[in-house]
Amino acid sequence: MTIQLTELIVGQQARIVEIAGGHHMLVRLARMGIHKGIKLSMVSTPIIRRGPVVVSVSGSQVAIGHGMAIKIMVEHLS
Amino acid sequence: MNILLVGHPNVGKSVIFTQLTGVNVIASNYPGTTVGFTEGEMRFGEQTVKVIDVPGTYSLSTPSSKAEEIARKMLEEGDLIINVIDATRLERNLHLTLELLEHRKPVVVALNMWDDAQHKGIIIDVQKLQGLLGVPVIPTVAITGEGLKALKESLANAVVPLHAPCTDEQRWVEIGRITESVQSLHHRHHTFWEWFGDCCVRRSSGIPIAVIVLLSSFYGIRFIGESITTYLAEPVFDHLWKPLLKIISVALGGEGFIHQILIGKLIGGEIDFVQSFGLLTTGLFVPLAMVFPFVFAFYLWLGILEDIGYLPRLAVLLDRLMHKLGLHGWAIIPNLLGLGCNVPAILATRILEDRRERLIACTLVSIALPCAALQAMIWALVGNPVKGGGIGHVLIVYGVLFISWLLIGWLLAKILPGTSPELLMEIPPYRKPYWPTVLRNLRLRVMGFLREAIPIVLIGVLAVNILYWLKVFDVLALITAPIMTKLLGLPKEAIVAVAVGFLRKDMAMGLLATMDLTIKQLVVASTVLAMFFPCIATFIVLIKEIGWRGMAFSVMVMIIFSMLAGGILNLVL
Repeated sequence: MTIQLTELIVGQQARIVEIAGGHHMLVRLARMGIHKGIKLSMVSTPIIRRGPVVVSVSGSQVAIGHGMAIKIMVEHLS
Repeated sequence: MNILLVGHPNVGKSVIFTQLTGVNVIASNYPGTTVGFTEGEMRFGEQTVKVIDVPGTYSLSTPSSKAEEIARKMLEEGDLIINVIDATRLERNLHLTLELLEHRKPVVVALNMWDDAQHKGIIIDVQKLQGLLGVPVIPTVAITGEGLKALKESLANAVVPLHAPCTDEQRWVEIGRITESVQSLHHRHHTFWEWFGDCCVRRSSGIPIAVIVLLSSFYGIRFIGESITTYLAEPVFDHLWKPLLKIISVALGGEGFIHQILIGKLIGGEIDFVQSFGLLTTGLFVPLAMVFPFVFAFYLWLGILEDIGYLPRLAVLLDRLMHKLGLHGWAIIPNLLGLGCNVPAILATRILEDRRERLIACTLVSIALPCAALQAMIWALVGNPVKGGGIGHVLIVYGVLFISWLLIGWLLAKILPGTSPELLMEIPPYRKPYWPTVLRNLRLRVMGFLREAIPIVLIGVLAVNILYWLKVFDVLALITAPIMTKLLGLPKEAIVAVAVGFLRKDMAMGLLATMDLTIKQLVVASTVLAMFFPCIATFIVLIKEIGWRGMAFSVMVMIIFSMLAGGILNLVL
């Protein structure tokens, strides 16, 4: 089932299936090692509504602003 | 010959640079510390070669900040590239490596943080990686110097790699293949630091931790600063320096032009380090005894927070707030640096993505963030019980500055066209402070302060005395009297302090101390001084970083808000 990145709960693992953003956003994310097909896990969800999420991806942690995170579609891996 | 150090932000390029060249640069545990470039020299066989520390960049294809733009331009000037990569994050680092390999320049890879990788249970087959990449790969631990000799020797074997250009997607596939075959991970338990790092950005624990960190910073810095002033600086000035000055004062006859310039006015027949305002009295006492301890304490504290890696976590916590100011969380870092000195803070705005953000950040820093030197003087004067001041009055000044910071940011975000970009930043792992780095950064920053502050303060004191002597200030005071007296409720001579503030704000505060102001006037004057025109050093970098038009815009906002804040304070206090 495909959900938004922001819907994951802390500790859950997921794989990116789609990034619904423009070219600029895709490039910015790819530079941080975040692209279609990669596995990630949720480290922390926002403290206040619409805050950034922190995910762990290929060995390092990346903070992603809310506006960007909702455009990243993932499938939950159990 | 030029050797370039290229790599992602926060992989240790600056540390390797220092190890290779002996030139000291500031290194810290968050991305974007090097925003300009630093050059140094190194012996390489028979010749001396130039080594350049390039700002960190994630990719060469599309620069997304000023710092990355600088990095890309510099690549053209290199003859040999040392690609520094973080062994604990091989997969993501290799993307830039592959891009570099397509550049037709000899490359050597430094596999840095090798010890960290081993602690984390990451095993990398260096020989195999070397074979796959086709260039020398040297494991290094930059902070201890391990592997640096081998790295230096490998430069002679650097070859131009034979990599055909390919697309981003092809690169990721290749990276997957490479990491699969050279890297193996051993499972292990989370360390305390990892657990604590996660707590700092989690919903329940993040805010309390931030409050504790900020409060302890505030009190810690004050405690260290005041201790140095009371137990070291003041005794030295009172018991060693003053007797010497008394002899000079008597020899000069206690008055006259020369006496005025060297010693200044005698207060009740005595030398007063704060009020006399001569070159050898106030000119030395303000920077060395009043400001230096505070600057030292601030940078010690900041250095520790930087090195353990707390600041990026603060950036995550404050992202929402910063969005309201037209910025995103990362902008908190230049803002915090601004509480030390506005100049490096404005340079640090280069890590921000677009012009609009940089303009907002620069304006906020130069208006609403008092530098450590100015803060030291505010504490000393406004917090002085002898004048009827205290911590409450100091907090009024800080409060007004904080409200202005929020208000100006919010207004600029509304007025300036465009939207603020989303936060996207790497969060470095927590680590125990590595004291040699912390102390080296502290030394660099404190020495930088002394080198810049003392000459300007001395020139300033000299100029002020001469201009007083020539009665130039009387004319100036007459012209601006309506604003000073009617709007701000200050004596008309206070304009002299505002004018001197253009040189250095701590000295301007020192001048206010000679004017016998009431505590209310001191609060108004120090607030206006903090917000009004930046000091000359800040002014110059502002023009360089945001241009004349940006500067003109900032100055307009500055004048409006400082007069507004001063006027309102004068009415309500």
